[in-house]
Amino acid sequence: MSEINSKNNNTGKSPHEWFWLSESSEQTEKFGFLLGKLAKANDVISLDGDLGAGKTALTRGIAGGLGLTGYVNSPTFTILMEHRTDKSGRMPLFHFDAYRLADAEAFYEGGFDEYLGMGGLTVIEWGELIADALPELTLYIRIERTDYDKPDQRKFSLSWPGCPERLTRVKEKFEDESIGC
Amino acid sequence: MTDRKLILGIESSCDETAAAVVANGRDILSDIVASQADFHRQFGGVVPEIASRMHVEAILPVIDQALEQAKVKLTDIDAVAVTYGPGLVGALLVGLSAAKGLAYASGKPLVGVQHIAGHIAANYLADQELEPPFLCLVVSGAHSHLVIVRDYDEYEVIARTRDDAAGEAFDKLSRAVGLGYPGGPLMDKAAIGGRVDAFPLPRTHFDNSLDFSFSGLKTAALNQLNKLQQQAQREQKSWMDIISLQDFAATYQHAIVDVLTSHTMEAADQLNIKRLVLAGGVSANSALRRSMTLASADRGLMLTFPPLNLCTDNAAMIASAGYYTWKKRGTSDMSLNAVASLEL
Repeated sequence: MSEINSKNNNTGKSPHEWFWLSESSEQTEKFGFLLGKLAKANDVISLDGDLGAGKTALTRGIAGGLGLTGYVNSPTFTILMEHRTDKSGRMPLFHFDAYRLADAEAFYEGGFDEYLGMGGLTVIEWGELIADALPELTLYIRIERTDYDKPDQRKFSLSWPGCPERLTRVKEKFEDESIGC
Repeated sequence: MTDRKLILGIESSCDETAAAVVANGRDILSDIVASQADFHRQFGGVVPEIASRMHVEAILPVIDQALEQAKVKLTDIDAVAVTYGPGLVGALLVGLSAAKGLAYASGKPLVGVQHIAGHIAANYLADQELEPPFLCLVVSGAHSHLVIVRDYDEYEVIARTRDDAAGEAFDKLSRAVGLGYPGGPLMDKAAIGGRVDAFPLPRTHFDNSLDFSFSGLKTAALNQLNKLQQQAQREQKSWMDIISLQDFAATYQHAIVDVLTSHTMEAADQLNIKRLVLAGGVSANSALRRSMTLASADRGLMLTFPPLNLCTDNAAMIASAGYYTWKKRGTSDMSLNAVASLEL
C-alpha cells in the first residue's frame, strides 16, 4: 500500500507539495503514464533524484501516456532524445538529461531552450542543475530512495508552484485510477 | 588504378575529433584522432559546450594531418564522408560544416554517414575478407544494438536497449565507485583478477524479445554499494574492506558481459547466422572479447572484432561506411543537417 499525504501546510519550501510512495518501477511507469495523459503542449517537467532513482522509467511511462510507442532510452549521452509524432503520439516528447550541462547558460548556449516552445512536452532529468532556465510553470518532481532494505520503494515529491490547480487535478486522477494501490 | 576511390572521413559526434583517408572502404591511408577524453575526465563526462569548442579548434588541423599522412591532396579525394548523427548536435555540426565546406570548395560529393553504421564498418577495415551478411553487436556509450547486416549499408536492428546503453551502465557505476570517466576502460582494468560472484546481480531478459535492459542491474549495484557504504560507516572502515573494488568491478562487469553474450548467442542460434562481429567502444572491453570468443568457439561461429583503436570513435570507419553508402545510395545533399537521435 502506498500512502498519499497532502502536505499543504507543513512544508516551508512550497505551499503545495504532494508526496506519495511508489513500491515498484511498474507503479512508477503507471504514474508516468497518467502524467503523459494529462500533459498539455509546452508543459515542462523537471525530474530530480539520484542515479537509479527511476527518472528514465518515469519518462517511459510519460511517453506511453502521450501515445508514443518508440523506445525511451536514457538521454545521458546525447543530452536530448527527441520523440517525434511521425509514427504515433499526440504530441512530441523532448527528453533531456541536464547532468552534463554545467548550468542554465550551457542550456541556452546549446540552443536547447528553443524546444520549450515547440508544442511538445519537455521532460528534463536533473532539471535542478539548470534551474534558472526552467519556465515559471514547471512541474517539479523529486524521486528519492527511502530505505535500502526496500530497494524498489521510491518517495515522489511533486510541486507545481505556477499551477497548483493542475497538481490537484493530477492527484485527483491518481486517486480515481487507484495508482497508489 | 581508376577504380581506386579515396574517401576522406570526418567524425565529431562526441569527444573525438577525427579525420582519415581510406581507399575503397578497406585500406587505411591515414587515421588521425584528437581526443578530448583527458580534458572531460575532470568533469566526469563530456561537457557539450566545451566539446563543441574543442572540436572547432581541432577539426582543420586534424583534416590537414589526415591528408598529409595519406600523402594526398584534397583534389585527389573522390568523396567526403561525414557523421551526421546520432550524437551531440553542437559537436556533430562542427564536422558536418567542415565536410560541407570542403566538398563545396573542391566540387567533391558529400556523403552523410550514420555513426553506428561507421562502427560496424570498422570491421571491414579489420577483416579484409568480411562481407555481409553477418550479425553485429554494437555496444558503446550510447548504444546496445543487435543488428543483422544483410548487405553493405543494409541493416535490420533486431534488439536494442530499453533504457541505458552498456557503456553508460559502465560510466555510471564507475562514477559511483570513484573510478571516474571513461568508465568502461577504467572498470575493465580495475576488474582484472577479481571475483565475478561477489554479490548477486539481476539479469534482465524479456519474453519474445532479445532487447537489452541495464537499468535494473545498475540500480541493484548502486543499492549494493550503498549498503556496503552504510555498513562500512557503522564499522568505521572503507566499503572496499568488505568487498574489494576489484571484486565489485569484476562482478558488475561480468553481469553486463553475461547479458550481452547470451542475447547475441541466442540471436545467432535463432537466425542460424554463423558470422558474428563486434563493434563500438565497449567492444574494446577485455571481458566481453573473452566471453564472446569462448561462446563463439563453442558454437562454431566465426567472430571478428576491430583492433582497439578502431573500436572507439574514429574517422576511418566513417570513410569506410561512406564508401559503401556512396556506392549503394549515392551522395547527400548540401542541405544535410545534424540529427541528434538518428536511427540506423
